[in-house]
Amino acid sequence: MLFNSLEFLIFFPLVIALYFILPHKFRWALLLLASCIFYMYYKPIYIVLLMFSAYLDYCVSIKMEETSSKQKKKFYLLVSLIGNLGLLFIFKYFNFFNSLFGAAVTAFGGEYSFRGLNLLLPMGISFYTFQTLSYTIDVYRGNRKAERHFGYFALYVSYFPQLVAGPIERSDRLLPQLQEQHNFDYDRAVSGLRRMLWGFFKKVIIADNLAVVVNPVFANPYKYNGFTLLLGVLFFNIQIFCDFSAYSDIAIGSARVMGVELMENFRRPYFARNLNEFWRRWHISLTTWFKDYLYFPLGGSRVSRARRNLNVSLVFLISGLWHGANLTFIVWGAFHALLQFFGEITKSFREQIYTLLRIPEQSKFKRVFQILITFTIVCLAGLIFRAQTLSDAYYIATHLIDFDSNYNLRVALENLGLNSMQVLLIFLTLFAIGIMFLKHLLEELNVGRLIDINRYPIALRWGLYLFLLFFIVIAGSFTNQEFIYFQF
Amino acid sequence: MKKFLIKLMTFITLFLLLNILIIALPENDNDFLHAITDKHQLLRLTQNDKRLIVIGGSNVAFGVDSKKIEAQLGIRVINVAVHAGMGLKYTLDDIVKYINKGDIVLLIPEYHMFYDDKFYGGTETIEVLRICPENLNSISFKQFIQMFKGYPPYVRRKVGYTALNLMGVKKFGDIYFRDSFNEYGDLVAHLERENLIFDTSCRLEKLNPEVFSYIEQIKSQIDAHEGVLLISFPSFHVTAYNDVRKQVNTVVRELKNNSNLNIISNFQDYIFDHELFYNSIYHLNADGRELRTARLIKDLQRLTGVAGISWQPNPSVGKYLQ
Repeated sequence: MLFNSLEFLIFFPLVIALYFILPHKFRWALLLLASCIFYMYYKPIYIVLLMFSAYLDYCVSIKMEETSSKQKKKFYLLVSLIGNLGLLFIFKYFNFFNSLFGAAVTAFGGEYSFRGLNLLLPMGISFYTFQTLSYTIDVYRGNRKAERHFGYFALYVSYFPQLVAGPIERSDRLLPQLQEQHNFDYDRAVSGLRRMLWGFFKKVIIADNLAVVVNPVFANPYKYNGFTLLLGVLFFNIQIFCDFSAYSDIAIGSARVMGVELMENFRRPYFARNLNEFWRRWHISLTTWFKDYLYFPLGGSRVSRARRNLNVSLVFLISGLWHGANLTFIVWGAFHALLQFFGEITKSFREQIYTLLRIPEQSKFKRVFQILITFTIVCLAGLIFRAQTLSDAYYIATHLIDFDSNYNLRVALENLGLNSMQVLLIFLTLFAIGIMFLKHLLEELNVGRLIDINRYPIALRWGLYLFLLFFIVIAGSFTNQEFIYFQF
Repeated sequence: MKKFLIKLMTFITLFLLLNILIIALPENDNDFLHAITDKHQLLRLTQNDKRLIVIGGSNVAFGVDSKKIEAQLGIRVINVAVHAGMGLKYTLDDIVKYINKGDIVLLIPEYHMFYDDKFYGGTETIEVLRICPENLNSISFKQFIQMFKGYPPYVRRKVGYTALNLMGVKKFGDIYFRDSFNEYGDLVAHLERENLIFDTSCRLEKLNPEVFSYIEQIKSQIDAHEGVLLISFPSFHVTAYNDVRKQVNTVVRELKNNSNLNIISNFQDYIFDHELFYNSIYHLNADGRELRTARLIKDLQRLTGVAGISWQPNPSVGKYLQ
């Protein structure tokens, strides 16, 4: 089920009402049933995979806890890894590797005719696989006790607000909250609904309207000139942030109404001053997952420089592959790894230049400059991420700057075949982007009090809610577009 | 919880009241969909004539030359098509009550009408119901759902129109006006214009079997009025066709499998090249319209003798308009 659908508009209030009506002991069953319905709306049969994953890790973790033998613990962990990652491989990566293998065989003069499996990617498989794996690894490490109630464990794996696109929650945070009794809390409910409203604002107005420009540009970049390509790249980077962070906002908001606090997944990433900071602000739940379950076990930064670089490369390459089975994602990961090395090599040189130019550390100019540079680099990496093929990415990257291009926004939009109404919507979207960045700027500048809506008089507060709602209705795109991260 | 529910209800009421205010804003009388009232008028004025009533979505509005058909076949032609967005169900329900004895109804639905929920309409159904509120009683539950989903664009248009009106802009857009239609009900404002750039891709997902049974139901009603229902195929862009070849073939096969329906055309005759389209995969330009009309005339001429149909070519074009 999509958050931005009529079905969810009926489903959510119904679940919330039943949740607070039912006694605590039945709530897990209600939420589990609701989560299954939510997931089965997409392709019912895939609930079997989700429940298989949950049941496997439930059993394995109990077995792990019951044995004192390290060997056996390792064996059980291996069973979980093979089971979960095996499913992920079959459904997400098999065809990709099969086609690479086929290409290699053909290149060496052989014949290879197997075209792969005809399977539809289960929605959110990468998210719930990582979530359930983190639990098993934590039990293996002795960081937490195995959950004995299958209902609660299945709910932890399938909790509907964050099921298909995160945040990827850790069991020590989410499980106790699901087990705890939550009474209705007015302030929490209002705060949750407000967060959901903000998510819908970003998804339906900004992300979905920008898709009208982004999709044709990346579908056939060779048709367009410099400015249109530039717009496509810029808009994609705003679109993906709004789309993904909107999902997190709606997930966090809807869980909050039920009294559950999910982790923050984004912290204004486009205000990062360097790439390290960007990764501390972007898709935080995945970044910390990789840090805790891959980077640190590999030795983290407490190893030789060469080994550390290898670790970083591995994390970024796997992160790229996590996003999708396509060479573009792997190259995107490799590009980010290279940027890390480049950043490290040039760090002292850059500092010397700032010193030479007498630009102090706290200079606003320096800050803005760094933010712009980081944003530009992220955008360039983003074009590799979004391009359909590496040759498309190369074409876009080499044709972004074209001084012969007509730098007129309206003309560029009309060249994309947009009608007057769509052009008008893009201008409204730009206004919405302005509102979002202003909010982020105020939060960055630590003047969040200005946007602390609780301090406003009720008339102004309600006026703002109504404005946002009507803005969504008027400028929103209601074509039930899926969230981009569903495909991952 | 009580405090929350009271506040929530108050807020929702306020929101609904504001929506009612928006719906009550004045309509744009020259809007495209208002052409439906002219077409109703045409149907009323010609009720004593033997008529060929052409029904469909904008593929028919843009791509049929009724005057030429009238000249070739000697029958009063009325093009009642406006916009597929109203939904085929609404269009059929709206027109069937005007059918008289001897009327020939030529139905040319877009392929989209057979897939997903397009049959039930959406935004345009709300707009057209504002124009013809008497049709409200024929609206089904599924149509209401689609209208709900199509409500945001409706509000957008309404607010946009009001804002532009306040700024003194009376016409916004290119050809989508009531006065873009000629006296036969054909849209002609685009005929002199250059082709526009448009998306030629097409996606059709889930077949809606209800459409076929509903067409049969409408056929029985037309039969009861002693009219004849004929079915032809829409003009369709070749690239779009290549995207949805399988789905189009399914529609054609399902229609042909129904022995009760008179299918008069071969759908492939109406798949045209890119240069014959004006601004969408269904909207023909002047050249496309001419070619399509010629093929349609041929298909209709072949029918002589079928179901009591006979044509009497009449060179005095437009005599029925006098």
